[in-house]
Amino acid sequence: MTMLAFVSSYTPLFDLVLIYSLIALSQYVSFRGGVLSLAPAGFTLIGAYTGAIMIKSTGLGAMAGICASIAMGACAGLLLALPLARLRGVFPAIATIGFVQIVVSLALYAEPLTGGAVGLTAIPKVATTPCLVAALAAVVGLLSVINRSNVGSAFDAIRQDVTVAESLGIRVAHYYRVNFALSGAIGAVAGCLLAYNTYAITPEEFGFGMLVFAATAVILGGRSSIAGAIIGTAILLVLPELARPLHDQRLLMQGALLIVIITYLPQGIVDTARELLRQRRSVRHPVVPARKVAA
Amino acid sequence: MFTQQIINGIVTGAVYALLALGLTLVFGMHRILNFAHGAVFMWGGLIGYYLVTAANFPFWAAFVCAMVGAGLISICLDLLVFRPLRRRKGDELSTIVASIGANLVLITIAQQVTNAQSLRFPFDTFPLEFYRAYGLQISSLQVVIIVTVVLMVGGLLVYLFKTPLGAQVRAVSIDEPASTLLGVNPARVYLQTFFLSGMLAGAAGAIIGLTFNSISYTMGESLMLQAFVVIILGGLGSIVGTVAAGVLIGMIQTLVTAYISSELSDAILFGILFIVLLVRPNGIFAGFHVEHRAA
Amino acid sequence: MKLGRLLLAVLAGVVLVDVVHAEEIVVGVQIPLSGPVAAIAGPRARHGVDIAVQEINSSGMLGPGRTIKALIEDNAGDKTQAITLANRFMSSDKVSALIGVFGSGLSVPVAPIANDLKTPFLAFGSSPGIVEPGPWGFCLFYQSEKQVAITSDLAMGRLGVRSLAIIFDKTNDGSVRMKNSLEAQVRARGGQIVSSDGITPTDTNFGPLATKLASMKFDALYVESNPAVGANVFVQVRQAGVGPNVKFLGAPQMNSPVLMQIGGKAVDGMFMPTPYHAGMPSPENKAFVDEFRKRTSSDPDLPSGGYYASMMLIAHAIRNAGPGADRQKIRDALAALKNTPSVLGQGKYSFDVQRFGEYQDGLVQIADGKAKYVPLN
Repeated sequence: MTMLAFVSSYTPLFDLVLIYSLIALSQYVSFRGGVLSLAPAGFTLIGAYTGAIMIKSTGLGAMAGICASIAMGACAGLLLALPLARLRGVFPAIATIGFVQIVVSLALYAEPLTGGAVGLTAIPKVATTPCLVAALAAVVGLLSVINRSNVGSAFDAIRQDVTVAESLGIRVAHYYRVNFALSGAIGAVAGCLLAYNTYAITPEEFGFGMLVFAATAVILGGRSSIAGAIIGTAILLVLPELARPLHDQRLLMQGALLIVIITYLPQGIVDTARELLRQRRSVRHPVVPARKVAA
Repeated sequence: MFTQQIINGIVTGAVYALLALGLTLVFGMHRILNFAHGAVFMWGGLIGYYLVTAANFPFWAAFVCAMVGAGLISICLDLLVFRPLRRRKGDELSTIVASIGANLVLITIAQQVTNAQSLRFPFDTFPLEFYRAYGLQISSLQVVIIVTVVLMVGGLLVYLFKTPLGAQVRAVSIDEPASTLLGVNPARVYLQTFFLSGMLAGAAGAIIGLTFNSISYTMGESLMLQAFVVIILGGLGSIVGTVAAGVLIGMIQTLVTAYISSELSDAILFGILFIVLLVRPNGIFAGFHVEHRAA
Repeated sequence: MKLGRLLLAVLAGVVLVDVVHAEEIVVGVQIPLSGPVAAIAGPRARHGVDIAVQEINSSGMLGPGRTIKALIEDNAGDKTQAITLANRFMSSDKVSALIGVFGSGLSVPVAPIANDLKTPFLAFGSSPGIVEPGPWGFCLFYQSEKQVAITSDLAMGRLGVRSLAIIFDKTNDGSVRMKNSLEAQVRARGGQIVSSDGITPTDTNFGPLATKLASMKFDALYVESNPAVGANVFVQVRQAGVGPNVKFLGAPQMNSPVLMQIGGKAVDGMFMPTPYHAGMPSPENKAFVDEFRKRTSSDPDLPSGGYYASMMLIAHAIRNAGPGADRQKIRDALAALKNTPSVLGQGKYSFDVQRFGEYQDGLVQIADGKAKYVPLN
């Protein structure tokens, strides 16, 4: 089999890895900021339908669709942040799961707009691989910049300990909203690109399955690094292809993997690897304290 | 029709309460949100089914064994999944994720065991009679559901508040380290609570599988989200609150289906969840744990 | 010495004959063996494919030295995997055709891929989205509107129904399209739709819905869902008090032994139009049903019959296209199929100009727990 045939047959998988990495990054943003939100699947649905409806009903083209999706996603995030900012612990988790269910139900119900269970089809395939690579690179770049900025430090502080962050003067509620808006925008972009790449969308693909996928990818790869979300996504999407001979055991393996990773490797793969590298480096180049000269 | 729908609502509510009881017990006592609870419920139904069909047990015997079996599965969950996490000081997110993984594992095993078929108890498993009066009707099975819930709730309250074992459970839930000073073995308490929770779920699985003519590997999934709404509405950890909330949710769902639209019932349900979280996140009745709200 | 040379000649001859005539044609098959729809399609569909392959090869229908091989993979009812598999089949595995891909939710995204990679694709579905992207997509079944016309004819003609209640699967696009068409057709004929309620395939508590229906007056109830759920609906509807003179009508997909297993007495008297039933009297079907019974000790249902029929149709196309046929020739031969013997319908299958299937549905009525095949008129 030629290299070309190999690449062309696996391009769609690569495209999906790129798109789903964005969904995972939306989830990463939440976890990074200490927000127990599982909403990315809902943001993805909103972005997908916005993008699809824009490109099919208005003549404004793909970029307009993407911008509209970003706006809708950010708005949805802000709307969620308002009631949830005051809650802690498992409440935001349950509420955001409920949010995902609500948008799926609404997408099923609003037939004239969303096509109901049939969904939307014949969406022009404008998001080709180079476009997806560019989008992912842009988001990764944006997140790297954010991580190094005040916003990133605020997120870290809030994630470590909310009360301490408050006492340090960090406006927790404000950053909570920023976090949700960012997560919403990224999730929506992912959804828009999904619509522009896979020709058809239905409400079912954005439900609990996608929610679990996003959380699993970030947990698997590592919650504190951008690379973690991407690697986690790649593993989860490529594993079923490699594990094909094992058929139904696929889901079983994913479930078992989740349990094992979260218990024994809670930092995720990338973060643990980084930690190990750092330890090894410090062993090789120990910091030697200066010799005290007797006075 | 309205009165008949009220009866339906109470029965539906009793169903939710049965399922939610075990969930709120474990959350109230140990702050563990067990996503695998639905799978334990489903396995209760499956065990009951196989005992009746393959081993020719009479229903009451299969019912008892289903409860015990589900309790044992629940204990395994604690031993294999939650206890290792506790030892490693896992956080709330880790517990949720691990239970999602466990859920996946239990469901896929069931899927393979049942060959993905939808099963029903044989037609003569339980004498199905209809009691009619004043234009209303209720079936023997519906009565059994209501009676079961009442008995379960009564038994649970007696256990928790009138027995020394129950006192230990409550002690651990209030302050685990302090309770060890008093000679309580927390590990054993966890096992008890999980066993109880599993028993409740197993009973629910067998009864519901019988009443609604359907046992399948997906039967836990669709009810789990309603169960989450119920435990939040009722106050996490409150037994009585859960039952009250269950009946309320059952009533609302029934009336929405009957008078508005079955398509919207999910959306309305989660809308209610949001409102409750906004206005009264501690639910109708304060439970054993009150979520601390930061500022 | 002489023996040696003779042996060599024979060996050479055999090898030559083999090289010249052996042609193994690979057909890709996607079945949801796991995942949400596995219970409906899944393993039984696989048997349909296996039996077809065995029959095609053992009967030599493709011609001397030509055999067919089925590359069966599980798409888990998931769109992402369906797309990835379709690409893999068509690009690296170089299949000559793709069949299966159960349901429009998965088939519609695969259709444009089949057109890009120019591979004939015979989908187990009926959505226009399968044939719209280009000439390489085919629908095994005909459009929902046409399918449901049989039900509305039956109801309003033969059964004298004037008012209808509908329960449909709101998560399944085929089901939603059928419901919309049925509503339109009934109204166009002066009938009345008293209620139209959506359910999901994981619902089991139909108490509220059944009670609502029991308080209304209507002549017939049409349920569009999978067999297990549909049967459960009928059971609970009867329990709630919907009278015995209300006719029950089922969707084609409910045609399965599961319907009777779960429904029991509640489904007696029910009518279902169906493209496939194990009781259909064509000789092809008798042979297929016998073989299926031998392998699984149960009767084939719509998915198993449909997958078997799909494989056989591709085989006919491959045969008609001739030895060494490429994908283009196979596609053209497929489109040109007319009155091909098939287990579907009354035994003759064609593709119409829009590449939907053309065949005559059968009608099934449940009586005493058995599905009896009933003449359509």
